Amino acid sequence: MTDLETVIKSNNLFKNVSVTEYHKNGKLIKTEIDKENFKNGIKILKSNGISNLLLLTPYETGNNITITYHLFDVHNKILVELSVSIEQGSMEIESLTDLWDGANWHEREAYDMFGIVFKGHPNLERILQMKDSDRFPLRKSFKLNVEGNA
Amino acid sequence: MSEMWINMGPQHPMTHGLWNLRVKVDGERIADARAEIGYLHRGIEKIAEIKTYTEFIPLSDRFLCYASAMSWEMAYIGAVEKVMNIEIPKRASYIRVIVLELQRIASHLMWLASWTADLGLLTMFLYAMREREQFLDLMQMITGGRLHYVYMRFGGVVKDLPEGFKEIALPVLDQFEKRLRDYKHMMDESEVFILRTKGKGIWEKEYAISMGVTGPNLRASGVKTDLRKETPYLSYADFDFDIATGTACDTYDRYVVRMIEMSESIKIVREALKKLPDGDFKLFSIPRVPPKGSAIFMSEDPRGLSAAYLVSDGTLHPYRLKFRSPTYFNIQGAVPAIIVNERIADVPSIIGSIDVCLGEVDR
Repeated sequence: MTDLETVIKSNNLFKNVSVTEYHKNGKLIKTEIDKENFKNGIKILKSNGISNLLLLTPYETGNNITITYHLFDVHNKILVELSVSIEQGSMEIESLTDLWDGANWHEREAYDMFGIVFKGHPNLERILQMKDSDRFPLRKSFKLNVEGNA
Repeated sequence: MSEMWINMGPQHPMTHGLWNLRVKVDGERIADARAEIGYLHRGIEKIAEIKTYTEFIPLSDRFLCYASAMSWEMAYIGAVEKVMNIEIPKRASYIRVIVLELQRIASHLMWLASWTADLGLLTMFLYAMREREQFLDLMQMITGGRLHYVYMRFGGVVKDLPEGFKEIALPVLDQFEKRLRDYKHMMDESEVFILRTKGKGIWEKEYAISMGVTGPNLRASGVKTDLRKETPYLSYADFDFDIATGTACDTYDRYVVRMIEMSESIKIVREALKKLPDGDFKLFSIPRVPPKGSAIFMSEDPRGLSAAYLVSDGTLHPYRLKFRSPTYFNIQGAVPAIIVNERIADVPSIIGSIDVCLGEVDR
């Protein structure tokens, strides 16, 4: 197994690679990937030591939604921050549940809060809100009705 | 035999908060289970977007885990400090280690109390609560609060340790260290306790890792991982302590790991008090708002690996703030895997052993 950093740097699927530390001795590799190559990229990471999906954070960037995946190698303490951008019009991306069972609740929460559809997810339903809710509260278009605040 | 679904929760003494564990039973045996969460959802990540950075500090300890508020303050403040790119003074980071480890002991004692109450070991419940009281008193002495502290600030902590704290804290630690051994003996001599914990709720190592299980639960499954030791943040690198691990992956090992962790935390606090350097307890010149950028801060919460991911757009409010709750993934990994094929009477002991805290699960 080659070093994860070398793998990411030598593969042209991964763009804008930068390497820092999240804590002492803990390597943080930030990179970006296109939506088309997303699943392949994740598979490459998985076969080079990434052991689970730590955090999935979608957020709006203009007309797009950026989804940041934090992928963690438990044994070598390497954290990969992989960003992928999807258009607000389509709101679809491949699910990672076939690679890690643990991605299940991450993706259900992202669907619940943003309405992102994860293709191939076995049970994509709301998790924190009520099942019959029609709101996606973490979108910027959803305004909180609080006096004195935006 | 015919199968049927039973709702354990949302109101059930076992759940320690509001969530619904649906179990399918075949006689006494659990055939399947599902977890329904969200009863306590308050939308903390959305609320963060309309609060200023400082306004959110009190919320970060109220909205997340109420049994370990300090570690969640640390997660939030750590992420903001990362974006600000500031280095805190040595004394401030020592004080943070002291309060975080006192919090870890208090949190583990809270777990021990509620879990042993589930098991019907009410003697241990009362002892654990009594010990926790002493640690809450210490926390009160430092911060003024017993559960919600609002003690940390960007760049350090709000005030220095009170005078004479070391002289009061050290005897408490010594006494607790001795009592902890007694409690362990007392529990281990209880045959009922052993019968209800050993070999129950097996959490396979590979499965636990892929489900995102972290913290004492993962260590009990034999993975020697602890961010404090392997990727030291704050000043954890200065202290001598061990990572507790189990081998049997069962309920009993999860209990043992937490008991050892408490005594390791005592060691850290004691050493930190002895080595406490002079200097400022806070960095006084910090930017009012963090610049544009993003950062993740991961820390070893009493319940597992917690993280806060902050995306800042340079305005007064966080643009996006995401918390990783360790218990969220511990529950995901636990249901149904570790209770299937166990008896229904063992469910409270198995689920209790993963240390559930619903405040952080539902956020």
